[in-house]
Amino acid sequence: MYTTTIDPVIGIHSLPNEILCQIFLFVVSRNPGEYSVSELELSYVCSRWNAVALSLPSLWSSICVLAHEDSESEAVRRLTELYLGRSGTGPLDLFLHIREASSLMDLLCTQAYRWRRFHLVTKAHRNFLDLGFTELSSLESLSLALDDQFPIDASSKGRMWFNAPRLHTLSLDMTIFELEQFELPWHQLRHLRMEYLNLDQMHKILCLCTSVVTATFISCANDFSFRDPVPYTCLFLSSLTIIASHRLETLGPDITHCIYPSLSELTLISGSQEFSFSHGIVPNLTSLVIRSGCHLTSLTLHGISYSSKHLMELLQAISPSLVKLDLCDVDHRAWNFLQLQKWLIQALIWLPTPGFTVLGSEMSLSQAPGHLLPHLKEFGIRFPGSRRDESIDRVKLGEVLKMVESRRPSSTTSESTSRTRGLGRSIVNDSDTCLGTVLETLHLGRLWNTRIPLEFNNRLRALKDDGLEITAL
Amino acid sequence: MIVLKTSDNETFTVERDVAERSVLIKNMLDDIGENSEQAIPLPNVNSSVLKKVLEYCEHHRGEPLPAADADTSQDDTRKRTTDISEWDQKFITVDQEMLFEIILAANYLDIKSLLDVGCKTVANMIKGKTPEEIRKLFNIVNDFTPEEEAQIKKENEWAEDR
Repeated sequence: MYTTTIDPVIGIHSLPNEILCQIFLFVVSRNPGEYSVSELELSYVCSRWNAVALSLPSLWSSICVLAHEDSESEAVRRLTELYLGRSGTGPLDLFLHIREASSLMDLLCTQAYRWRRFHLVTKAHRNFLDLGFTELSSLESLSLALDDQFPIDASSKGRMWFNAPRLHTLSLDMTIFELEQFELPWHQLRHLRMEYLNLDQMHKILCLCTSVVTATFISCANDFSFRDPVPYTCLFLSSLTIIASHRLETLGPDITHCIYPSLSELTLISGSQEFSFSHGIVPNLTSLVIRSGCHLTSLTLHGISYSSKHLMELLQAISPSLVKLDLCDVDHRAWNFLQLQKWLIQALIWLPTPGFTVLGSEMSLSQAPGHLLPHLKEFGIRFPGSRRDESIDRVKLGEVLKMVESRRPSSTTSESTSRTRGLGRSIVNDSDTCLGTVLETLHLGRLWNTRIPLEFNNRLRALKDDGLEITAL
Repeated sequence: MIVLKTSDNETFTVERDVAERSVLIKNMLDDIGENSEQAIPLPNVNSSVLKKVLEYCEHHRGEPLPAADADTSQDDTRKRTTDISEWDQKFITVDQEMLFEIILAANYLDIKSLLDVGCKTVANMIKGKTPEEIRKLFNIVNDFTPEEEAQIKKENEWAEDR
């Protein structure tokens, strides 16, 4: 215990051993697999530090063999033995690049009951699916990857990994493995990271992993034979990341039918051009990131409610490349609460139209209206069936119509878009105007069936006559 | 308000929730009762260090205290990062003597978060340094016996040869 009378100059020597232990553990804290010999260096400082370091088994629990190292060399073996001895009977974190038939692996296998993290990168000349033991009582995290392209014999089964009652984190490189080769306690996994799967397998795994909280699928390919995933529920999934493979792919990951009630973060990094996503089935979504290597061209969003906080950010981010935007089931409150109307006016409308104001001032061409969706050809906006207040729908319809009219070729020839009639495609042949692409298809859902005022009906008919394809439920 | 008395006989009057960031003081207050006006003696902490410690407690008042069973095992500690928040980093930018005094005071007063900040700071000072550089930094004497030196040399060779 420190007293000023005994030790007038306070230095590191004044710290008791238990504090020195804490400092040492902070010194050796590093990312999984990161190589360092800091524990050795700590033990070389002085005899007291040496004694403290050697009395601390967890300081020696991490064993690394790097890719460039020869796992058969005497130095690697001696150091491994040293660490195994000094770590006592505590758990081990192994990060290994090991080739076939390594005696070092045999040595480590004798301590398999102590493995807490087992991360192995190897060449597939030896069957690492089953190392011949059954007890993995400490294993929490398993990562297997191969740095060679030889597929493992399909008949091989990885049964040993099933007996890992604490396993909660799994990382598998599926380049050479088949999913069926692994007998894993899928139901207890909480963190998944899988490489080189297709979307069909992704759904299969998520079906199996009933406790999964975070799931990352890297280089995820599309299975073109698979279009309609079987509905399933992932109760605890809060973060889902899908990074598409580079062998792309025109159909995006469709998770429309999968129910993730706890999902709060969805990240899609994809070369896919088309994406369909139901916001309604993931009510807690607070983070939505979609990045597309070759620009997202089609976006269908279901169940848009006033709580779809990140919807506008998403639309803003991807709108420049969109050819199709279909907003299904737009909640009445979302219209106002998310300022959807304001955004759509800015995104869609091209010409200053009398009667439209944004933030109290009449919009002018200099504000570059329509620039947010310059390539849009297909637009859908569908409100839910409830008709408690038809007058609101009429207002909405009026606004939507004005926006749509402004995106027709006829609008570019007249300032008064709503008054233009009968200018069919035969008159304005260009599909692109000086401002962008003209709208070709409009999905209005039930609005079309609503008893709308005669004026609106006439305008819709005029748009149809003008060549606009209008669909309705 | 609580009165704290340091080893150099200075007294500090502080609000209870600030003082109770220290588990030691909290337990003492629980023992002596609510209305005692008695000064709490802190014989292992001098006034300059207590002033600094109270600055930390004041800044972090109201934050949740670590649970009693959060006395993390060594294995858990290994996984922890050495990241320190911006304010804490500024706070702990002191000379070595004061740094070790703060660590000792945090340990004595049982203020876990402050102890962590101190230990992380020392750990960050050590990281990436050779044994010789560490000795120089903290004025430590190399007191290994020739036999111990030989063992170290051997281990060092394995580490270099791998």
